[in-house]
Amino acid sequence: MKMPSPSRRTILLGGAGLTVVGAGVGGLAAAATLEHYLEGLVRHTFRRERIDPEGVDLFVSEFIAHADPGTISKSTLLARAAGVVGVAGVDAALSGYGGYAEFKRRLVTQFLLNSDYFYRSDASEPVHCLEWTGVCVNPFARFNDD
Amino acid sequence: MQFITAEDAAGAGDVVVVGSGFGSLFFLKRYLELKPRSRILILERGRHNTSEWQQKNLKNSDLPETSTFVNESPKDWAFTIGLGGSTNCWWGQSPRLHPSDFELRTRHGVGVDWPVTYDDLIPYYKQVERIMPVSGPDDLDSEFPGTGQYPQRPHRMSSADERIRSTPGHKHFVVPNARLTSPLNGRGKCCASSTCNICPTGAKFTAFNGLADVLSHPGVRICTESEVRALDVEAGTVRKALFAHGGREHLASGDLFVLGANAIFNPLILMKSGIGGHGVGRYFGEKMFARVEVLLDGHQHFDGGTATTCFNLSRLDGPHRGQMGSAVYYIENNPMIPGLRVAKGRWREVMQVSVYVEDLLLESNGIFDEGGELPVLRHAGFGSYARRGLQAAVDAMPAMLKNLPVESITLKEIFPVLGHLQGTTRMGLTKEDSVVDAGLMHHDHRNLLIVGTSVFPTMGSVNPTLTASALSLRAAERMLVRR
Repeated sequence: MKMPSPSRRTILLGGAGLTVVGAGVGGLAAAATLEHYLEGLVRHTFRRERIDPEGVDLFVSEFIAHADPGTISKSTLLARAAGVVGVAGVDAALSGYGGYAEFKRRLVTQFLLNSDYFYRSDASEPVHCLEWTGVCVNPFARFNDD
Repeated sequence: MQFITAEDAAGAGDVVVVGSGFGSLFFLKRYLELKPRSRILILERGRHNTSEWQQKNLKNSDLPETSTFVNESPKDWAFTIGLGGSTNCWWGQSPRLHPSDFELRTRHGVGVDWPVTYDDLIPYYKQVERIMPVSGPDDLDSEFPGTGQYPQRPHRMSSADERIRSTPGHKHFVVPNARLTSPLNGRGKCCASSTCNICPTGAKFTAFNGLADVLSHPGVRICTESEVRALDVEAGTVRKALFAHGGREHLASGDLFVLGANAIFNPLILMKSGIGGHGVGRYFGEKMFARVEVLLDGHQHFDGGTATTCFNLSRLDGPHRGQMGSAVYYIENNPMIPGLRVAKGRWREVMQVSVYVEDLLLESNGIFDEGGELPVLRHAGFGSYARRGLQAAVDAMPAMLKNLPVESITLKEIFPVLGHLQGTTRMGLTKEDSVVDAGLMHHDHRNLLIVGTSVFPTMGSVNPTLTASALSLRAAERMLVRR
């Protein structure tokens, strides 16, 4: 695996107030806004990881800014549902549906590739969000002159 | 580059070129080499959206193409309007057509034959590959004779490609493309970002980084935001181009006219001008583009060196083409679309395969001028020839991938658009079967050339750009040698 370039490694809000987010997401049942819902879904998906909470906020802002109107519309509906049954509840109820799976896949992929998840030397290290980038995002690429 | 006003365009060129994509610029490349003192006027409908503008705005054009036609089809159509045309938005895939693609009727009993053969195009393929330049492997001669060595070394294949190639008798090769593997003339090498429509390093060939000598030639004048509406014909000779600019109509005269708009607007201009030929506006279409998802069991993907690493040619040609379309598989190396596998520790155990499938170009599908400002596109959707080809291609995948630990193979979707518009001013031997001849000259109007993929009589299954560019080089050479 290629190591990230220094700019890629630029960590926003690095180390600021790292919080261990455990498996319990019951507190997210009140998620109503789109931002809270998406943050909750990231935390729920990576509930066994230590992730930088402020970085998640920033990641969600960027995700929303770059998302197409269809994604925003659908995830707004999901946020409303999450306000009733919680993020975990929505995730459990819709996990078998193609449209939801595709949405979650996009979110998770963007989070993974816009964080240092794959660059950590140890999987127990906390995950930091990186500067949002639309380019040079394949951390696994190998080149003939490598 | 010398940009001029519409007022100054009236007598600015002996050669008037409509559109500035691959077809036009490769024609001019050879034309200006042979006649360097020529005066050329390029009339381009769009603006000059620089590479910097495209990077900043994350799009290729400020003019949405969907605003330029009425679509009465169950599928979509995509292209770029602006200086450089589709050299901006393309992804750089640069395979040649297969020899059988030029002789579909003779070899397989369907479609039609081209008035040129693969062998006719070999020297021009080589020239385009050198100009761009194209990177590729040195083992493609078995499939595309005369390929030899590409100017740029091949991109690194993925480890999945290596395993597929370990199968005896495989037809799995690094795909030729116009994305640099080594920096050249200020262009960086490919960074595998998979954002090739807006290449961040300059690795991908565009008009601006690869044909700047044409656009900046002292004899070339460029008038942007100029939409050609019709050609004025007198006694069988095209005299002037009528174009709209800034809400007014203008005329540009010339001795030679080159139509390089695209497969929608080339025929529309002919129809508006009363210029005929068999099938003007008809035989419109593009190949089918499907995505197949392969879940892997323990194999980590996405470790190739560019967006699309290899193509598999096991369904490219054969007796099946009498009944169903040719198909080519492209191994995608982009982790972003549609995304990684949502399973911790198995994120990379997924591989996307794009399948391009040939369809027949039917006379009933076409571009229609119904008197309004916009052309009407009517296409019945992909035909049974393509659908059978896709099904057979998917069915053949387990054998193709047998050296990979495959968990499942799923046809996920057929996309509504690919961006390979073809047909509508097809080439052929006579005006009873076509619009232009083998030199891309209109059968009746011998100072009118039509370039680009609108002249394709059949589509094959691989990307058409290299062939369209080679045809343009050949057309310029044939015309000037004849004169």
